[in-house]
Amino acid sequence: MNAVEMKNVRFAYVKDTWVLRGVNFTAEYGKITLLSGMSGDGKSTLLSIICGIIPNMTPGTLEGETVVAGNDVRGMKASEISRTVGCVLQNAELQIVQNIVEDEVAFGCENLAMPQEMIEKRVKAACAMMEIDPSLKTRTLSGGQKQRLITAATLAMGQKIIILDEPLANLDKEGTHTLMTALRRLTARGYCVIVSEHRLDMVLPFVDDVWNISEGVVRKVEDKQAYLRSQAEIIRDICSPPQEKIPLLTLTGITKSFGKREILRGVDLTVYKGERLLILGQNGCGKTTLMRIIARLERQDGGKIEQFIDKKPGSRRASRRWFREVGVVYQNPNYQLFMPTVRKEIEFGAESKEYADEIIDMFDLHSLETRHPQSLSEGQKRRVSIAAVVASRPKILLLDEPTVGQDYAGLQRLVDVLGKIHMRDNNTMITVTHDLRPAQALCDRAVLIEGGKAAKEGDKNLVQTYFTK
Amino acid sequence: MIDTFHAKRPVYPLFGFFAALLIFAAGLATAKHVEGMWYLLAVWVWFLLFGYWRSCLIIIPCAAVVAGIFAGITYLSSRELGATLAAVSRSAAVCLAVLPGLSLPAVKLTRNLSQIHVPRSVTLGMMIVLSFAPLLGKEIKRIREAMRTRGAGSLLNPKVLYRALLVPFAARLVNISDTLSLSVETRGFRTGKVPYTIYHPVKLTMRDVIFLLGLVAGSAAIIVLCFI
Amino acid sequence: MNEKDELEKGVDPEEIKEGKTQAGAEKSDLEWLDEDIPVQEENSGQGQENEQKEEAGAKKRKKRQNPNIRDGVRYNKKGEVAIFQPFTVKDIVFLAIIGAAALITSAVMPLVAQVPIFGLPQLVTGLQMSIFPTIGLMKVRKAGSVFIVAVLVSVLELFMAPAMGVTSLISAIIIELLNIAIFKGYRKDIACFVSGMLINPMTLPFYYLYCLAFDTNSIFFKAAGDSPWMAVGISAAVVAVCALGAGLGILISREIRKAGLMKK
Repeated sequence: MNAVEMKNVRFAYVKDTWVLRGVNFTAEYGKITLLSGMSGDGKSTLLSIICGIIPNMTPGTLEGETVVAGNDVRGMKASEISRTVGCVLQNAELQIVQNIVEDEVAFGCENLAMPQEMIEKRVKAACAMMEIDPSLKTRTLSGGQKQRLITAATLAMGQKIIILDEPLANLDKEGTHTLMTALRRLTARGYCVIVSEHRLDMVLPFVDDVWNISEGVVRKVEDKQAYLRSQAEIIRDICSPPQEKIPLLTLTGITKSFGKREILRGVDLTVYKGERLLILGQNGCGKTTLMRIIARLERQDGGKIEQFIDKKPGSRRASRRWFREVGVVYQNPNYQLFMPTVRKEIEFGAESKEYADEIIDMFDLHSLETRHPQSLSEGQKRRVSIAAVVASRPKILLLDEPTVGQDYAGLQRLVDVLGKIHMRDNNTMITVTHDLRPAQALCDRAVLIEGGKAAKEGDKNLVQTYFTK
Repeated sequence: MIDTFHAKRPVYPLFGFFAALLIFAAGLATAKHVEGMWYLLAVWVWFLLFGYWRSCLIIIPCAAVVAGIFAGITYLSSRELGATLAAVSRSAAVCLAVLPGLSLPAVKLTRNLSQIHVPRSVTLGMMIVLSFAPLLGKEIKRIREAMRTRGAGSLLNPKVLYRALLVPFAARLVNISDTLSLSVETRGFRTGKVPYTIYHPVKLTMRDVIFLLGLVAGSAAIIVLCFI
Repeated sequence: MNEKDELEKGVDPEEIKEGKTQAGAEKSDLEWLDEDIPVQEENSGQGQENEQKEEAGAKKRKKRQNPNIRDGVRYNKKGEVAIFQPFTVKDIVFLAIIGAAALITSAVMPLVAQVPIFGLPQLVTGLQMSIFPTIGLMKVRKAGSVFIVAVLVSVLELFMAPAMGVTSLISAIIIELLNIAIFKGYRKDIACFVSGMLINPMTLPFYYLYCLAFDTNSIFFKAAGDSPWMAVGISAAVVAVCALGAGLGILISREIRKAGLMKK
């Protein structure tokens, strides 16, 4: 039975610029339906129509028929549709209103005027399903836990149609497995689950139907495996490891705690000049903290760092000179973009206009040159932020989750460019990623952070073992 | 409303609110009298008795620093001991008045306000102000760090400095608000007179009544003692 | 083993299909998933109102479903856009976020307020207390926006610094009245600028009254009473700082609107 049916749906944010051009789409009860496609091709738009965000909160021109749980949603308010459709949006951190997990999960149930006993039962059950402790404080959760929290908050509301927009963006392997298994349990009880996701390698084993969206049109994918091979193939490495091992940074016994939470418990690690180091580990294991300590954005509580990058590093704060040598690409690109156009953003740190041109060329940003960086899609912003940092030609490049929000084609292009720049400049790259597809192509050497320590070191085989074990 | 200050059993939120007003008004009004100091000490002990020991202890060094600074400024500017002592009293009164608010989990306040039929849009707004104030503090920190990483933090270039700080921050504010409002609405939140449940409503107990009555009696007594 | 197999390694497809891979997933644990959401009665409070109240509620709703509201815009009897527009959840959330931003950047205010120097708190917080409210007004261009920010922030301020809370509320009401009298809402940028600029300086007279009530010997009076020109100078500085802040707020809002983030 169809839970969602869209017939000839067209939508334009700006008059006559159609993002969706006659979409015919169905999702059935008892199945997980995957919606896949390139960044900016309209996946989120389509999901927003189903859950009533469009046209209620995001205006535009909407045509065609959308039937959800047997009701035509035209004219229905989003809050009315929310009784039938549960929606897990992107950016979990920005959606948390309450201070305690239990209260956050209860929030939706309160809005639906459920009796108190029912809310209590549902909060407990949804938290157990998403493996999250209801007594935790929401602001202390890791990114992955926040994603699971927001999912639990939706599941507790009990709608039989659940929509998830890029739910795996902040989840590691374990978190992904917990989430996808929970979704399977829902469909086994007759729920309809619709997922939009780039990381096909992680979701395809769990889904029943796959739809691809391209140029505003949706098509059902008949051969799932062939589609997986075309979209989730592991990207090949074009670089070779450095011949010499000249230490650039030596970390000895690094410890770091946040309040009572001990994150790093004595990390020993050496980074060599010209290598590409990949940091692996579960959510909340301290990868980003370690990266921030290396970048001198955070101070370690204990341990010693010996560096051979800047002869006058200063005692506390990293100097401007330090950041000319060490390029840091944030997990969230929004913080690093501030100029009025993409071109000016790249030129800001570039050594010359010619080099800025070259970077624009390499990152294929010509079509975005005159756009305001804040007006771009998340995937595009990430590309621009990497390009802007790379334009200053740092000797060390620190990349925190550089591939989030990139579709497969974008991912290939990005990894290729980073590889070419590495070969040309012989820079040192340190990358944190949860994404299997580009991991090996960004790695000469890998280190696994576990239990607050550098538990294992290895080459590409460690990456392979880590992601597939 | 700050985690480390939370009392295990805070008083009924609305009573806490009245208590804050009372301490503030009585404390400032009697700041120039020596009895005012005794009043503040009695209030502090009263809080201790009602289980606010954690916040009572944390507030001591804070109050000492604040009172020290303002007493210093007042003494330097007036050279009068009386005025200096009054500044100490005023600072202590402000610090004590803050206690019931600081020790109260925000959700208890908003639930209490919902119980007395304060519009849900107001309670939601308050909840957001409280929850997102620390988050926005972190956002500012991250943006300042990002400015440094991109070499845009120099005071010598105010145009870039302003752009690098305010453009991403304003964009983040819009972004956060858009995402949050979508999330709230898709989780069934509606304004106006619509049915909803208050999960764990806050209950008024005899303990709360005794707390407020004691405070009112104490405040009335000190006003009488100082002015009548 | 090909890559696809590697990707699927460790997951039994049959178990996945049945949704059984979660450890300890007993059937009884999942019964809550089958419960339907209770029907939501259209009345107020905890769903405990009587029939009479329901009827009254229905009448009120009917009255509220005013044909004068089209596409979220309220029109007056003459068919013109009304001064008072309904606030959506989106508006409230944005104003709350703006309130949080103003609050966090002005956290020093309750402490500075104890320093008996006329206008110092306003001077210290002038920039941030004008930039953020102006951005708020540029997005939510509805009469009453300043008041809503003031209500959200002042309820919390009343706990932390009661005088500040009361002052913010009264100032907001005055600013809203001035705005309605002069600009009839926030449709024009100049209206946003003026109100954004006035929020902080408007508290100066109340600060005067506060000092008058609690501290007649402070150097405040030396500034405001004995040498009024100094008070005038500080007040002018507060206004100048706030004008700069409101101007920056307008510029930033225009830029992020151009970026498509902020729709008018």
